[in-house]
Amino acid sequence: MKQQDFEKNYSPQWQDIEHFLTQSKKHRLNNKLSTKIPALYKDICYQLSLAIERQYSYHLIENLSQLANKLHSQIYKGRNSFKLKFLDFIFKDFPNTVHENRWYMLAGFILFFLPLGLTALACYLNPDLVYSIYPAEQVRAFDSMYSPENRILGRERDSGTDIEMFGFYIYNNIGIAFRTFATGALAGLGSLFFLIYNGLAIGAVMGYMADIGYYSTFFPFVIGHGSFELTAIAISGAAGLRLGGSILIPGSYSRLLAIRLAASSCIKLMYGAFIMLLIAAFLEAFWSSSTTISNTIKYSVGIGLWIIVCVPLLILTFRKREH
Amino acid sequence: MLSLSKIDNAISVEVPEGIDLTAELAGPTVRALAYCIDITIRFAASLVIYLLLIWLGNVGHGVFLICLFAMEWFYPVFFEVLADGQTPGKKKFNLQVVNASLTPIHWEASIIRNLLRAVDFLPFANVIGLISMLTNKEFKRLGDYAAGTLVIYKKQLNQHSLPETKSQYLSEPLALAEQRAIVNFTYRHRQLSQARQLELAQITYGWHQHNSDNSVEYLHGVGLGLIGKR
Repeated sequence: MKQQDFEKNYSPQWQDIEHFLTQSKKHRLNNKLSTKIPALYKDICYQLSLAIERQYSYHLIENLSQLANKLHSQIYKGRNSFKLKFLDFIFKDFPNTVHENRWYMLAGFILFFLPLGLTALACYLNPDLVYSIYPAEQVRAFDSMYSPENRILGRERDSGTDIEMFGFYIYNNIGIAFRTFATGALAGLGSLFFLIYNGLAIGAVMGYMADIGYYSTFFPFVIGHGSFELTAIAISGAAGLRLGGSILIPGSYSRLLAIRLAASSCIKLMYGAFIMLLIAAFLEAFWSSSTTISNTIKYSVGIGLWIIVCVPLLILTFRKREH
Repeated sequence: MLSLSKIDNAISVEVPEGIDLTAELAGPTVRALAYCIDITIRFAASLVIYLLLIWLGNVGHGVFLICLFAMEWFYPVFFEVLADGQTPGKKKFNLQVVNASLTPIHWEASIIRNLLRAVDFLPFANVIGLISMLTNKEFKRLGDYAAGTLVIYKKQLNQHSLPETKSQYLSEPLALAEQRAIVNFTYRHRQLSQARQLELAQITYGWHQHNSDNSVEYLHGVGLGLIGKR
């Protein structure tokens, strides 16, 4: 069959399909072609094979293969909904992912909390050490921020400032968590750096504050949101380590496949970390900084929050394998 | 042919229906240009939001920071998922983000590839991303590896027209490759300049009696005859 006859034969069908594909979603449903797309796709595939076999012109083959591409996308695009079933995620997906990555979780927590604890201890015993981590002005800023003579925690506060700080914590802290995760793609080195670096930085302030005795201001301030914030940073680091680990130790997969599998597992950890950091930012802006709530309540709620966050994570990490 | 396939930026994905879906990959230059446009749009949008919110004092500043966060991390995600794989910058250059199977991209893949921008950006100005793109055939940056995505050219259907001339029929058969060359030459009559068409037509002087005055027209006629135009 000559190309012209071939085109004449099929072009009504091609035009119908093109028309269908340019229609909006709503109109497509009413189009009578909508139920026949798989069959049409097969037809086009057949026609394309014929066109190639018969060496028809480049233009015809190109147009047919584009039609095939579009129909293929139409059929195989799958459902694109982001109905993150929230409760399902919190009680099923996230715990399962944590358990799946338990060794990386353990590594992330150790790499973050060990430097944190050691630096805190060191700075408590030898306060001068804080100056080797922070510049002097920064330390003076901490002094004045958390001085017990201050009636206001952190900075001057009204409700507007609370919202401002909420925005700042989201922008800053979640950004840090995302970077901690993403830089794990460099064979885990970036996550390693951010975990240890943040551990040192936070530990130093804590040790220093304990040493100069600002118990009534600093610790009630951080204990509430610290539970969600610090663990979320550790989780982000763990996700990054998993990503890097998949490149270094791909196991029985090719590296290409390993990094993709790791990424789709890690992203669930990151969704979790994201939610935790939102909670932390909210607590930090509206609860921790409040001057009307007594320190006893802050400590008790803070400890309660630590238990709520840590106990499930510990159980998940060390739970025996089912089956 | 082998050397051609080594420098070609076309890829093909085999599907069960027995055909190869094909696409053309987008290289670093055009992607960088699209990125610049997106950055500019993002910057301009931030500025507008800032100017609108600055009147609200501290509250406005807080909301602005949240917007800034959302735009920094989720601006590409939003467009890639809801606008057919195209951020405004990509749309300008006809680029599209798709899965490796050439299917439309979803939330998860888009979020992964855009979170990993943070590492592709390092140490400055996307250097790691660029190095990554230059070291593999599919121009993947690290985010594309992790998400299993590709950036391709979104093609438009060819609107072709045929030259207005009389069909010619040859008495002697042509080889398939020759037929194809002439047919494609005929279809490209609008894309090629007159001078170039003449130049190409000269190659065929050996086997027909036509000269520079009408060889192009003659070849077009042969092409029309081959595709069966009456």
